[in-house]
Formats: sequence, C-alpha cells, structure tokens
Amino acid sequence: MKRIVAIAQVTWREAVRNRILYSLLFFVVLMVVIAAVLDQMTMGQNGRVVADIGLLLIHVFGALITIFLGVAVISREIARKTLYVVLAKPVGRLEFLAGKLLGLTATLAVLMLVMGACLFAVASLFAVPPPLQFAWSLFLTWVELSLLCAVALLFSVSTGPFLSGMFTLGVLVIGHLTPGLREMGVRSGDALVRGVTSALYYLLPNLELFNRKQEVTYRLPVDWGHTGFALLYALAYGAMLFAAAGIIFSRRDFR
Amino acid sequence: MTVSASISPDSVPPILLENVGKSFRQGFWMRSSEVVKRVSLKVSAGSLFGYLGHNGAGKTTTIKMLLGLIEPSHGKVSVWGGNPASVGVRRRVGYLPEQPYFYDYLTAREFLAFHAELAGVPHGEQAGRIAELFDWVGLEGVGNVTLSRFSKGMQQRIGLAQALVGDPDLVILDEPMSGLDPVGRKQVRDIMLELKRRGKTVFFSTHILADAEAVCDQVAILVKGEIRCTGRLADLLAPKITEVEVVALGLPDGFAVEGVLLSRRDDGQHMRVSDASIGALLQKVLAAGGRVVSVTPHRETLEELFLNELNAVERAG
Repeated sequence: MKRIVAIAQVTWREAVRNRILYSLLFFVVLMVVIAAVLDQMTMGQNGRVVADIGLLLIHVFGALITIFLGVAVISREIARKTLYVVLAKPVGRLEFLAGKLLGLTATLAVLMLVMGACLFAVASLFAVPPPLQFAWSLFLTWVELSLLCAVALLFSVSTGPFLSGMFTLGVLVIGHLTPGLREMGVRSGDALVRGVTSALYYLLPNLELFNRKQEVTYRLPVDWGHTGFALLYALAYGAMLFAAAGIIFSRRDFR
Repeated sequence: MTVSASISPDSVPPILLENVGKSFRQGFWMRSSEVVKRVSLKVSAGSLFGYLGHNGAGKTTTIKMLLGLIEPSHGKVSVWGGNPASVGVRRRVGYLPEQPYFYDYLTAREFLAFHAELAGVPHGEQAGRIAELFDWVGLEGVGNVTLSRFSKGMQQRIGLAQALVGDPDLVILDEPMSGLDPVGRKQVRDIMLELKRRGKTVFFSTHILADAEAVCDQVAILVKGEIRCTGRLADLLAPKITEVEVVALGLPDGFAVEGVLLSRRDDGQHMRVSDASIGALLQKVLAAGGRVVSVTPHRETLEELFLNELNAVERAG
C-alpha cells in the first residue's frame, strides 16, 4: 500500500505542477463569472442560471482535465520511458496502475472541491443553491470523472496519447447518449437497430446515471436509491476497466 | 573463435541466463526479428561483470529481461534464483537505464525519496541514505533543484543514486558512463569498484572497452545477439606478448626494415615487431647508428579480442 500511495503522490505532484491545469481552472472560474452576468440578464431566474451553467461547466472542464491527465498518465510514461526505473523497483505493475488511478482521482477530487467552492460562492451572491443537492451533484460528477479516468487508463495502456484521448472522448460523449439511443432503438421497431443500441447501452458506461444537476436547479430531493445504484455501477464498471487495463499492462513488453 | 572460460560456481548466482532468446515483431509486415539469440551466462556473486557489445548487439534487451521489463521468447532468466518479474526478486536489484529519463517536475530530493519509498527503505533511514548518496555521486547542494534543470551528466548521477537507494545486492547499469566527461567517468568507475569492495555484484553494459578493461573481472562479449565469449579477463586475454614497440632516436632518413611498420613522431621513430623478431630489429637499429629509447611489450587488449570476435562473425555471416 505504501508504494501505491507513493506513486499516487508523485502523480498528484505532476498534476499540480502542470501549468495547463491552472489555465483550465482559471477558464472555469471566468466562465462561472460570465454565467453570473448572464443570470443577471435573464428574467426571473434568481440564480438558477449560475448554478445550472456552472455545474455544466465544471462537468465539461472536469472531463477535459480528466482526459488530459488520464491519457498522459501511462502513455507518456511509456513514451518517455520514465516508468522503467519505477517498474525495475519492487513494484508490481498492478500497484503502479493503482497508484496512478488513486493519484488522478485524488487530484480530480481537489479540483472538484476548488471549482465547486468557487461556483457555490458566486451562485450564493444571487441565490444560495441547496447545499446537499449541490454537494451530491458535484460528488457524482467526481464519481463519473473517476470512471472516465479508468477508461483513459485502459486506453493509455493499449495505445498512444492521441488515440487514447480520442477514444476516451468518444466514450464520454456516447456514454451520455446511450440511454437516449436505447430508447430510440426500442421506438424504431427495427430488431437490428434495437439490438445495436441495446448492445451499446450495456457495453459502454451509462454516464447519464451521474448527472444530477436537475436536483440542484429545481431544488428536488436527493434520490438516495438512485445514488446508491450509481455508486455500485461505477465501482463494478471501474473494477472491470481496471482489471482489463491490468491484464494488458502486465503482459506488455517495455522495449 | 569462441572462447569459453570457467567461472567459479556459486550456490545462487545473482544472474543466470540459460539459452535465452528474444524476438520482436517489427515493420509493416510484422516480421519477427531475433534480437537476442541463445544467450547463456552465469555471473558470480561479488563480481564486477562487463557486458560488452556494439550498438544494437542486444545488451539493453538482455538487461530488460533481467528486470522483468521484457519477457524472454525462450529460455530461462534467473536473478538470485528467482523470476525477475516477481517483486521479491527486484528488492535486491538496482537499475540505471541507458539514457535515463526521470520525472523532471520533481526535485532531486523528492525523486530520491520517492525511489527510497518504492525500494522499501524505512522512513527513519531515508534522509540519511539520500544525503549519503548525494555525497557519493557528487550531487551535493542540488537537493532542491528540479530534475528539469539537470545537465545530462547530472541526470546520469541522479540515476545512479536512485539505483543504489535501496542498497541492492545486484546493481545493473546500462551504459553508465554514457554522456559523462572524463572526471564523471572516473567517478562512476570508482563507485563501481567501491560497490564491489562492499560485496555487491555489479553488472554493466558498455561499448567503451577501455572502461570495461579498467574495472571488470569478468566479461561477456555479445555480437549480433549472441555471446561470443565469456569469462575472466585474465583467462580471455592471451597472456603472451603479441607485439613489441621500439622507439629509437638518431636513425637515418632512409632506415627501413622488411616487415616492420615505421612511424616518425616527435619523440622518435616508432617500430612494431613480433616478439620473435625483436632481437634482429634491435641489432639493425644499433648498426644504423640509432639509440634505443624504449622497448614496450604489448599483450592482447580487450579491444583486439572484441574486434577479432566481431570480424569472425562478419566473415561467417
């Protein structure tokens, strides 16, 4: 466990010493301020626009940061050969992957906290968002991004940074569309379309499970049953992705 | 010519390769290319072993198999009697890669602390071990400098420090003198000799034969993926005198001896002859009114042995 934590700490240091990360963070804060201005220009919204757009921005930029960091985390180590001296130490390859994943998810957690705190402060200038729903929505966004990290990890042990980034972005987009696609397939009445959309629905992660922004916007009560299911789903799907990444990584020759 | 020399047996050798080979699929048609071929090697505990070969001979691939970074296509790789892919075996191994690349966003101290943690150095001992290593590899006073600001020579030194941080019994160094100035190369040679004095086994690859000849007690010569000879340097290099170099002054301009290569330099006329012809040459020099300044016998060098093996492979292939 000590080795996993040491690798996670180095991953965290790499992330926080990356200037691009700060540029993205600055951009998010800027966009939240713009959302606040838009809220002022919208009749009768009473701060809803700030919270709504702000959470969407956190989600979008969080996903971009996840892809940026997640894809680089292994493929860059392989390309730059920095992992040779690490794997030559008494470190298992699964430990290395676990450390990387832990470091990334911890980095994302801190980013979520910083961005969430900024948004909450700005939104509160207009109307204080419901704190429980706000925190829970952010938490589920973090769970989604952690799952996306595992997707990026799987791709980055198999291919280079560009393709890994493209594939992970593809999973992010399709992962939010699969429930709609499945519904479309059922309504089409065509067996082939229904089969394909259902296969996509079950094969790719259903990332819409983690979208609870409407509970903040419309001040709805938290659906704990749904949340529990989403957490279990993320754990199971994430474990499968990690296992697949582990199998590929363990068998790989580092030339 | 394939030379084979006996190496004293150890109960558990630090390195044992038995008929090891590695092929990679390369190119558009994914053709198989055999980089290492039927390599068998035994390294004795406490020795300083030079793994010699030209660029592309398969040295780095062999080393990566010793570290579990590459799985052999056939044969058996044992490190301290175990499979190097196992974490337990690698506890006793330190490694410096060729052209080392490190996390350049870390400071030198953070970098060594990270590797100390991975190597299982207890927290209480880490600071002392790191300070000792900075001193040993000549990097005092740069603990808080990020690795991105390190020169190539400094990168090589910090790489050496991370290889030694876990106090390993076997130290594997891939081209450790690469990129170092003469002072740095001497320091690395001294570190290797000190490791041997402390009872460690050092296995290092190089294509700079003078480095190997200066420190090694055992070598293996790898040519195009195959071991051509292995053993103690004293056994491999012919003890007999191969040539004698004579330097003389005051010889007339037209002085010549059949079968003797002459070259005029500032310090005199240089001549190389076989050991058997030295008497006749000296008589002719004295008869021509010359004064003999020096007579230096030459024995076979590692470079000559290496080139002989390389030429033999090229003639056969």
